Amino acid sequence: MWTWLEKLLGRTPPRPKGPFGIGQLPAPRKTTLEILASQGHGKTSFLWGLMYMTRRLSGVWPQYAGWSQDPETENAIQSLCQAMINRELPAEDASDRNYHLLLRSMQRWGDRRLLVKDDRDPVFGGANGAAPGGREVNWGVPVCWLLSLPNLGDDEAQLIDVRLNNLVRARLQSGWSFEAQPLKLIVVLTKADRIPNLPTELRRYLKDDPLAIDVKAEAELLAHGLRPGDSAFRFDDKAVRSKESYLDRLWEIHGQIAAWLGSTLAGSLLERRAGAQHIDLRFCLVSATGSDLCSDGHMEINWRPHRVLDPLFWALELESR
Amino acid sequence: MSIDPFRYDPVGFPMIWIPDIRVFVHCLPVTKIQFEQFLCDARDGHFGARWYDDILRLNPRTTARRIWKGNYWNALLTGILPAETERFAAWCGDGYRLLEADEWQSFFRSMKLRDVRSLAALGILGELGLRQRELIENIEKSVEEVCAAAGEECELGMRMLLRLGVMEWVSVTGRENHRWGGMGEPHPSFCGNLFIPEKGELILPREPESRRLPSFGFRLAFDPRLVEDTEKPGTVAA
Repeated sequence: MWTWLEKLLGRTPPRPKGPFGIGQLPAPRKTTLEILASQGHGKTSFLWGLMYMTRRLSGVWPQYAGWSQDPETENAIQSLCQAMINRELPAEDASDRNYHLLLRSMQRWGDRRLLVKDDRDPVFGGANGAAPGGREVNWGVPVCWLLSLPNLGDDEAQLIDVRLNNLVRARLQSGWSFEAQPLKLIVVLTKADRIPNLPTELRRYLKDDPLAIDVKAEAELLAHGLRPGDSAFRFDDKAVRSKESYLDRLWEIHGQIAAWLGSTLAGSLLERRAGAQHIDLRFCLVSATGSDLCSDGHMEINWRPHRVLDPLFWALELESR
Repeated sequence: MSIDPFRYDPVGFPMIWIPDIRVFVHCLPVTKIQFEQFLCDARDGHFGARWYDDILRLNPRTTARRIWKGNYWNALLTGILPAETERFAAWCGDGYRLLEADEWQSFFRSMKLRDVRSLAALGILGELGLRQRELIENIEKSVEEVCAAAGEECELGMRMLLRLGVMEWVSVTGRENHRWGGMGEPHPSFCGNLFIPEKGELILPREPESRRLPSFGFRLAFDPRLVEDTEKPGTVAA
């Protein structure tokens, strides 16, 4: 049409100002986060905490914004946020859900589309020994393996390297080569508030989550009648703004968890097994609820997700390399 | 040895004088053997065998000899409602009451500042009965082991279970709709948590008057100002 108009009117089509035209905007990179976990290891709670914090992050991270990409995600997030406000806990047999979000202006990582699935686990299976879900795992993206040490108990915790075997076998069966396409695996220790012998430094790290503290501070100030934007809000956004320092801390904590797990037979076997398979391994720890004060399917106090963004940060970092 | 003034409650458990808030405070949260003395005297039907069975279902009992680092919280009375702690306080006598939230915080800070490395060094164990002494010493030893496993220094506040103990009911003022709250930091095996008592974190459960929480216990204060002709600190024995 413009060619015809150009000839007729002798005019050139309008050129958009700025570096990109409307049709030329680069599509945000897609980050698919594969989350694998045995039944009861806190997958749905973690995802609730993660979705909640990806929204709340806007309060403390300048320029950042996160929103859902489809009505299904929008409804799911609204529903989980309401459930968290009502101090509800996820049902044991949570239904399948896909979360599709756009995360904008994440400084170091730019814009990303995030796709996460909460479904019957395709490697470890579902409730009451249900067979693994039928969907194909995308082994090319960073994989978060959620592991609740409190759920395993002393005996099973001695066999975490064997659990890694399940994962390795599933990937091999899908035809992925560990040498040519190394697995990027983030081992996420869930329900870390309940780990009794967690080293003091790691427990302190978990408690001192600057993002969780800011969200809590905001909630308390709102309860006193202040509105967002009020000067009384003094968010400590340094840790978020300076990504380098947050990532340095992530690295330190990864090292400390590796050393702590490595001091046990199962932990050292896990690391050796991962090394033998060229797995790019990262460790982090989270607490989705912030406490175990619950009864009758409800929290007795508010949800307080701690460090639930760390696995996402690791995934973005691993994917960027 | 420290010369901290102290007194004993009616069951022979030590209470330490806290000058900042001018009250005596139980050195440990109230234990089951303390509360059982009250149960023997309670005659109104509320605190019957069924009541205690319900409590023990939430946090089973253990004897002093069987206390170790993996169960010492079983020796403490938890699952109790705030109103029931008031009944126990009334039984203890005039001047006994729950701590207020800011008093608990002052108590915590006060213990943090003391350069005392054991409960024995406080001078509170000397005149204890055998049963009480064995219980307190075994709890302290268990906490020392927990601290050693985590690579943490075992401060006086931990020995008194202000951390690594249970949530403790405190009375709350100035907060609409909230009369009771909890302070403390339970052992993670007893109740997972990330509470920070050193920052005065107050936990407000949704239905404190009616819902029994397995990790919630209490300790009492004795306020001499509420009692006429009370004895001076450090002179009262069981």
